[in-house]
Amino acid sequence: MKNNIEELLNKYFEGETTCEEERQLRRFFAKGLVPEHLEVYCPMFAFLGKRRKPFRYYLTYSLGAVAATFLLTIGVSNVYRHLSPSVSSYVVIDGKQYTDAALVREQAKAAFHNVSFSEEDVFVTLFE
Amino acid sequence: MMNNPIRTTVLFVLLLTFTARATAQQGLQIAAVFQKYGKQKGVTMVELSKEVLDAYRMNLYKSLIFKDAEEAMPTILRSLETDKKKAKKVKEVVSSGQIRSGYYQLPQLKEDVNRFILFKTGKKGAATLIYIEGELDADDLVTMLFMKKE
Repeated sequence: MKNNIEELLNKYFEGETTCEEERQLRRFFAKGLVPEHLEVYCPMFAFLGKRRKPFRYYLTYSLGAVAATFLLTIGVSNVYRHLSPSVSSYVVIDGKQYTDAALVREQAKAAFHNVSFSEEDVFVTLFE
Repeated sequence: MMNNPIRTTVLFVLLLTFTARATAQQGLQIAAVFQKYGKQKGVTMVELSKEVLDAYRMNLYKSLIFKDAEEAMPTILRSLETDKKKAKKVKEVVSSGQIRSGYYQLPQLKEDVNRFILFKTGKKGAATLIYIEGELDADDLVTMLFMKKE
C-alpha cells in the first residue's frame, strides 16, 4: 500500500494520475494513518479534499430550488383555490351577518341607489 | 430543524398563499374603514360574490351604509383624501369644504381590473361608501349609476 501510494504520489506530481487515483490519494491522506515521511503531503490533500464545490454544483442546486419553489407555489395555490370556497355574498347589519340572497341583493341595491345620481343631481352639480 | 433553502421555500409559499386573499382593496385606506366600521351598530356592510357580479363585469363589490356617519366621517374623509392622491380620475361635489359625494377611479390593479370608490352623504348624517373592482370601465359604471335613479 505504502509503495503504491508513493508511486501514485510520483505520478501525481508528474501530472499523470487519473481522477480515480487522485481520489485514492485523498482517501489515503484523509484516513490519518500516514507514514511520517509522507505527512508533509497531508495538508495539501486535506485542502484538495475540502476544496470548494464547483460553480456548476451551486448553479444546479439553485435552479433546482427555484424550480421546486415555483412548482410548489403553483401546486399549493391550486389546492388552496379548490379547497377554499370563494367568498359568498353576505350582508352585515348592526354587526349580525346574513347570507339570505334576497336580503343581500336588497342591501347592495340600496347602497348603489344611494350613490347614484339623477338628472337633477347633474343639473345641481353643473349650475349650483 | 429545517435547513435554510427548505425553510425559505416553505415561508415563501406560505406567504404567497395567505396574502392572496388580502389583495382586495390593497394599498387603499378605505380598506381600514370597512374593517373598522363594517360590523358596527348602525352600519350595513355588503360583500357580493363573484358569481353574483359576473353579469356586471365586476369581481368585487363592497358597500357600507352608515345611518349616521358623524363619528366615522373624519376617518372616511381622511381615507378618501389619501386614496384620492392615487386616483386617475376624481369627481367630487364639495359643500362647505366637505366632500358630499365623490367618484374616484384608481389605477388598475392589473390588466382589465379597474377599481372605483364611490362615496355620497345623505340626509340626517347618513353616508354610503362603495368599493368596486372589475373589468367594467368608467363609462359602464357611470351608465349604471345614472340609470338607477331614472
